[in-house]
Amino acid sequence: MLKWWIEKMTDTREDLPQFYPPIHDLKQKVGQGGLSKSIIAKAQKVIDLNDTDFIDVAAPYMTIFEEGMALAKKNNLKNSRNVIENIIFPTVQLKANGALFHYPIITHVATKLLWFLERIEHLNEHALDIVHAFALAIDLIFKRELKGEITQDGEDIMNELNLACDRFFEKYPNNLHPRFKNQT
Amino acid sequence: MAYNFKNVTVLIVDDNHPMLTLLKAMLTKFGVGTIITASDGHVAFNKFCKYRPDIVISDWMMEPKDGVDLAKMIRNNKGTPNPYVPFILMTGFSEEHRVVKARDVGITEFLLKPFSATDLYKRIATLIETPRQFVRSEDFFGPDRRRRRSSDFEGNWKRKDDVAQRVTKSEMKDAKARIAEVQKEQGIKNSEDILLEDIVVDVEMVDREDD
Repeated sequence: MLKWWIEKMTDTREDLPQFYPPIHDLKQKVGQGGLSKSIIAKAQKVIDLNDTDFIDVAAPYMTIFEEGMALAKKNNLKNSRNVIENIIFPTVQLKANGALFHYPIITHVATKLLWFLERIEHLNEHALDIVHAFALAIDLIFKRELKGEITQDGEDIMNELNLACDRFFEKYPNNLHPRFKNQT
Repeated sequence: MAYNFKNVTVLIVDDNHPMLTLLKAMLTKFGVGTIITASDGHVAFNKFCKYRPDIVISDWMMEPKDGVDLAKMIRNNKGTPNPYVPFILMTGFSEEHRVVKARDVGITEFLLKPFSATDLYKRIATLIETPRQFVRSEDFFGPDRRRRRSSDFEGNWKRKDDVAQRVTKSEMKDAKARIAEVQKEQGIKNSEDILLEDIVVDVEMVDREDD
């Protein structure tokens, strides 16, 4: 330890990390005092009152999602980690945008699906069934237009999907991506 | 007194048009004077070079160049007009390995989607109030990724650099001179190890996980 420290302290090589002090340009431009709560509330209203139809926003992501699942079946679940990454892309978009466009339940469902997809090491038929169940749930949410506060129907859908994920990892405890194997 | 964003230019990048519109409207409510928009990393970099914004807010996943590619270009391209620009990455990813990947290309702040107006404001306020020092090393250029020494931090110090993170070049020079002095006093040759008892060091030592 000491030897390492001395080496470190006496090392003046040019390839050592160079540090640059923080730049305060922004502070100089905007001044001080922050923004008032009323301004932030006005900005929040932009989200709350936007009338974009999220079903239109989500449509291309749902297409990519379905294509990813079709590809997985076509490839007989080979190269499944690549296929999983393809399904992750639309899933993260649904998660990111759902609540911003009045569909918080889509964000919840997609968050759970993302959790599942990040953790499995490879797709098997059971995993694909679960992904398919998520796709059906999202479809159902759009058809019933389950906007706004999450209703009992929404809670029920979430509970079923959570249980399906739990059952999967109980049945296939080894189908876990290596990066998660040491986590409890 | 309140922040005045009238003279601030923000570049926002997202391939999702409604999202871009939403973000632009929110920044307008904050009073941002100039808002430039782009729908992918490549277009964004050209606009970044042209307009030299004060802040970049970008989505991660876009085609053909995504937000991480954009951050790499801004931090490392030869033609970049401001490699130090504060960069907020918007993303739906929260898994550690994804966040680390983005952090390692020089992202300043993360904005987890979906977000509220308060979340967006807090990230911008952080850029204003606590700008970070930059680091250039062999394989990284960007805001300092290392945690600051904190008296209430109870975790393990993992990196070698954690021990000497506050040491400047001139302090290292002084240390070298001090060691040379000790070597001379004690008749120690360069090739010999120096024992702890031989020198007096005034430095806070911390435990490292690999010790």
